[in-house]
Amino acid sequence: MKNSQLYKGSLNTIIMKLLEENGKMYGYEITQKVKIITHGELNITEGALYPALHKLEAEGILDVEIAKVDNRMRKYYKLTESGQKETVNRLAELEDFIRNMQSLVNPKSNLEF
Amino acid sequence: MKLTTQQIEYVENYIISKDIKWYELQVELTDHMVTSMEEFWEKDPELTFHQVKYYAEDKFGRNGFKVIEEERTQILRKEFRRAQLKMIAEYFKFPKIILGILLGFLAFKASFYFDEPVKFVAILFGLLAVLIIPAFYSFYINRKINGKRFLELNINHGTFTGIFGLMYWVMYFLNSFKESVQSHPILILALCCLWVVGILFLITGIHLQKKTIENVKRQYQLT
Repeated sequence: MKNSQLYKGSLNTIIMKLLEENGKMYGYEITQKVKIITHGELNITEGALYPALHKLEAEGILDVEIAKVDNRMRKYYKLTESGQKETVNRLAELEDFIRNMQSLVNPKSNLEF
Repeated sequence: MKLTTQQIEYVENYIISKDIKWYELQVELTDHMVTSMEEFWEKDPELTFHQVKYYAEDKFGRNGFKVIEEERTQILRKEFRRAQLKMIAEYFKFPKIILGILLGFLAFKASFYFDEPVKFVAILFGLLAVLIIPAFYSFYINRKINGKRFLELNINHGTFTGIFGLMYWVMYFLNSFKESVQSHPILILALCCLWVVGILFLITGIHLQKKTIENVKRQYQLT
């Protein structure tokens, strides 16, 4: 992951946002989707992805669904009802964070508004 | 290029050979490896099966599968503890707290009918051991569903070891401080309260175990 420390705290929110948009996704699909959206700038490692997914699942934010695809079982993740509400909250928090960072990094552009 | 059933089986067995014994992780890691291998093969069809397997595994890092399993264990253990303590905390709120107080008070009151209250306390905790047997049996028969082992189900054993630990500690305490316990009713009361807490751990442990079994069966479409 490029600048991994900067992205680390937002990984759960990124996953939740993707699941909100796509309904259900499997692990590999999430890594590829992030890579495509960020034009290869952000690369979620397997070692970071699965603990994040398992944590969200244990917290009841994500639910699991299993399906047979191409002669193998596939584990899909999807947002639970409480997970959908939590996604809205976390996205609002992330947007606030980005806005504050923008104010700190580039205060001039903020004054222009 | 798609992997054949035999190749998928090979990958699955390879993951199992890495000491990944939990079905939910076997499914997830096999699918990830296979999908990744297929993509490597798509990009370069000249690569051999073992080369694409090596590249796919390399993305997990050194001991990657085991690290994921260990992290999952920590996450589930933490979440189980949190859920259990949350449920127990509910029993300390009105009106459920009345039940706990009543149980503790009745146990304390019953100790007056014994010449040696220490023996009564030992019987109380012995009763906890009797109550734990059906719960432990249920845990034992459900440790596998359709021959598949789930880490989520295995985490629950913490409740039983915790209760056995509590019983061992109380028996040790009773043996070491028999005289003090005999002459200080407040210690009997404290032990009765501890017994109630033990009962609460057992009830919540059984409830969470039942909930986890139902959840796993639903998610993995098992009967």
